[in-house]
Amino acid sequence: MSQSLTSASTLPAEPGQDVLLKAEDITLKFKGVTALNAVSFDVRPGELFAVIGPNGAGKTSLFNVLTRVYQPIGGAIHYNGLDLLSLRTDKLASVGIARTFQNLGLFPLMSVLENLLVCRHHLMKSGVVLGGLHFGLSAKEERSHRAYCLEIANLLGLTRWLERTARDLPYGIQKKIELARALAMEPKLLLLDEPVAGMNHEETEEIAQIILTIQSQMKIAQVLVEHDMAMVMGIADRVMVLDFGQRIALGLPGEVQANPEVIRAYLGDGDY
Amino acid sequence: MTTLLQLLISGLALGAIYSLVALGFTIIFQAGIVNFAQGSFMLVGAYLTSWTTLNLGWNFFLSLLLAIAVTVIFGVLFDRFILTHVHHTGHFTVIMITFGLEIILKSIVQAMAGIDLRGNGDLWGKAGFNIGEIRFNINDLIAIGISLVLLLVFFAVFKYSKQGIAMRAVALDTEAAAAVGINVPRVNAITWAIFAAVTTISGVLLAGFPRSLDTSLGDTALRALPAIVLGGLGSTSGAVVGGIVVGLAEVLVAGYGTEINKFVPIGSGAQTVAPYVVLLIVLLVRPQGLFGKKGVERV
Ligand SMILES: Nc1ncnc2c1ncn2[C@@H]1O[C@H](COP(=O)(O)OP(=O)(O)OP(=O)(O)O)[C@@H](O)[C@H]1O
Ligand SMILES: [Mg+2]
Repeated sequence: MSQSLTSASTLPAEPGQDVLLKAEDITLKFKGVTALNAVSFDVRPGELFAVIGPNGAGKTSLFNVLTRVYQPIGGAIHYNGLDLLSLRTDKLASVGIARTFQNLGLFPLMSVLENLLVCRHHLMKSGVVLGGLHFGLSAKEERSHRAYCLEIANLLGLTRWLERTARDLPYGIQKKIELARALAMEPKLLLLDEPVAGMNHEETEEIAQIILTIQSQMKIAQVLVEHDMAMVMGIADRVMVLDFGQRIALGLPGEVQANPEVIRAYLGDGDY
Repeated sequence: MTTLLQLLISGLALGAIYSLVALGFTIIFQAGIVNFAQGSFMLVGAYLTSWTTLNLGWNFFLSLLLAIAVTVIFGVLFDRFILTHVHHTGHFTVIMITFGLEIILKSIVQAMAGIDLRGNGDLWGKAGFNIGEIRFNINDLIAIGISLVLLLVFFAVFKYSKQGIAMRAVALDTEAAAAVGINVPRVNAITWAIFAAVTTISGVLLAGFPRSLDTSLGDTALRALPAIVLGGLGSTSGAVVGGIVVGLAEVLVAGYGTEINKFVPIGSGAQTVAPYVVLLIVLLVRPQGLFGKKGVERV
């Protein structure tokens, strides 16, 4: 690996370089706990950016800051020319940010298809009627939304479950539905919070393949929070390591793996 | 047999109105609010309609529209400016606030309207017709018809429209709904608007023949509570079925009171207890209610 490439990857993106998301000095506190301490990083268009760290390191909190659920006490976030901190959570869909939840955020009593369709809310005209009771333009619009959802379902191997109620399905399928739902939003940036947690080896492989497909074919940038180190190191372009809310490393997977501080904080815990 | 048919018709009419009340309660409940102010929405809606019709001489339907507009605006503002601010402090605060609103509005109506019985201002009054020995009151038929139409429209919208699916999403998981791009405050406003409109209509129907309007009208909202639990708390279809069951039970027990008293000395007024007896029996067999789903909350 060339020295210049290595060092470029650890530095923040240079001016003029294409950056989709740029977080600067994000600080988040809960009573007595500093969940994030001046964390900075950037994500490039189409990049697969992983965030790892021990339990309680602040990974989910970081997602909740990015998705405007938590308000940081300091820092700035630029996304695609926008000041992200000025947007409300429900506005993120229309600027192209989608997320999955660590503890499933499906709509449990809806069918799988409804779960996907509801994610296209921001893309629907207000009069659109779903489910076959449709006329004229609305029919055409409904067909296109439905077709998009079917395509996503197909990509994730969910076609046979479409009419089933989400909560009746096995956990592994539910995790996939959540990923499908985020994709159905047609995002530019996808935030995945532990998409393979609780999955077996085979399912993990499958999700890893899907994540790579999302990157190579759909060109969607992804921020991946994951405990499965083998998976992260195998597929990520760059990796950021958090520990007690601190960014302790940021770089290519190989660099991060070799970083003594990372080994002490995380890899040394026997998680690897 | 004639008595039974007669009672079934009245029971169905009353049940249809209870269904609307129960549905109104349920959609607000799904938005995370236990709403004890529903009775006052019925009361205000019915009194406004009655007053503009009987005192000001307005057309009944115009009056009804005005009453709906007023309660809808009030409901939306109440949600936006009061409930939204206290919601995070927990259910008990919300209950106290809706309960307080109920008392305030009821007192205002009592102070302004007095305690006299009055008509609801509708155009059909006691009109009706007989088929054989069975009496059909226009108000009963209208109650059944309007409830049916409203319920069908509601369920179609709820199941198939963009806003309906958004309402369900917010009801199931507010945080996830926001994350997939749903404007939660707007959905809540739509929910309160639907609630207020349906509740006003139910109040006006309930004040029609053979009943009349006085300031205890809103207490009926409490009678819809067993309907809601019986149907399965939080289930919209359950609310509808529960409402009909409670209406039927009430009317049948009232109608057969004398006969029942020969076997069990339940005394008069047993019809007010009947819904709770049915409720107890249903809950013994199905603790989650007829349509209730276990574990709807987020894990
Ligand atoms: N809503 C909250 N209120 C108070 N403290 C919180 C809240 N959310 C997170 N924290 C605290 O912030 C710290 C970071 O938590 P976070 O959930 O972000 O960790 P994580 O890296 O996602 O961990 P895990 O790997 O277990 O998912 C923890 O100490 C946690 O207890
Ligand atoms: Mg987490």
